Amino acid sequence: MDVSVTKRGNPHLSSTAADGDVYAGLVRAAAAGDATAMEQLLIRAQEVAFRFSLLVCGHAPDAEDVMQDALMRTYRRVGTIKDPAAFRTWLFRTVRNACLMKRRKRVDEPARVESLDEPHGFGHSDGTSAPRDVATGGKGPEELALNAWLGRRLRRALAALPPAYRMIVLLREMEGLSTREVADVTGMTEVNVKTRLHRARVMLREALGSEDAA
Amino acid sequence: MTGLPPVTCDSLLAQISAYLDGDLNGSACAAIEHHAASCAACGRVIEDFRRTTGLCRTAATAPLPADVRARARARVLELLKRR
Repeated sequence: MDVSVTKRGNPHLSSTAADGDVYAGLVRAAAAGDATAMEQLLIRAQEVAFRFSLLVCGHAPDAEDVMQDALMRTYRRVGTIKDPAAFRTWLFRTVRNACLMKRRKRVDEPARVESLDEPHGFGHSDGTSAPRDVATGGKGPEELALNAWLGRRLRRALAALPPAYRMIVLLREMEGLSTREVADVTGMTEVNVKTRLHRARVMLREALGSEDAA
Repeated sequence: MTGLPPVTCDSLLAQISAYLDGDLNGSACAAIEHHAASCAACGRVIEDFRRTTGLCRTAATAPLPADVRARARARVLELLKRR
């Protein structure tokens, strides 16, 4: 078995810089008046918002509002950006904050606020976390969309993770941000990001293994 | 004697993310690869981690549902039309 997997040999890690470059290029072009670039950038911003909102926050009704928020903030931001390379980090931070604001405004959840930053986000006294809509929700359109997007197997495995770990997986593994960028978005240290990513990978592997065995 | 730092199954699991993310030096990587070459279980663990990462990355590149994309595009066109 070939086990010589290195950063250089891992195609999933090599896309990080390229993804950031794409965003930076779109920002520069959009700021210069390129309508196509602006359109693509605004659609990407909403896609980021959709993925983050549904996968990390797990509250389907918020997704459309968070997408709208990302759209407007990106549109207003483009003309004032000094460092296009930093746009992607700004976008994820903005989306994360929008999700947090939506959560705080929800009147029916003050007793079980799910933190995006704590590994055991539901505040259960026993330190456990219960997966939310992303895992156990009904058959609403967003849940079905998640199945269609991620596949039932990966969705269930991700759902077994605490929200804070899902956020790290989304940003690092799925969206391709670097450890430094994830730290910037979340306000964690890089060491903390790496620790949580490792734990999340261990849990994901176990969950996917269970799915295989089921 | 390989001259490489010793690696056990437990220490490999603890370092596997650092290994896959390119955070280990050449000697540490070689030691992990040397261990995994002779330990089928650890070889599978590395493959599992690699596959998990790949699964996530592939999912991220999949297009969003058509209705979500259509609404996103409609919002953009509406916004750009107003400016």
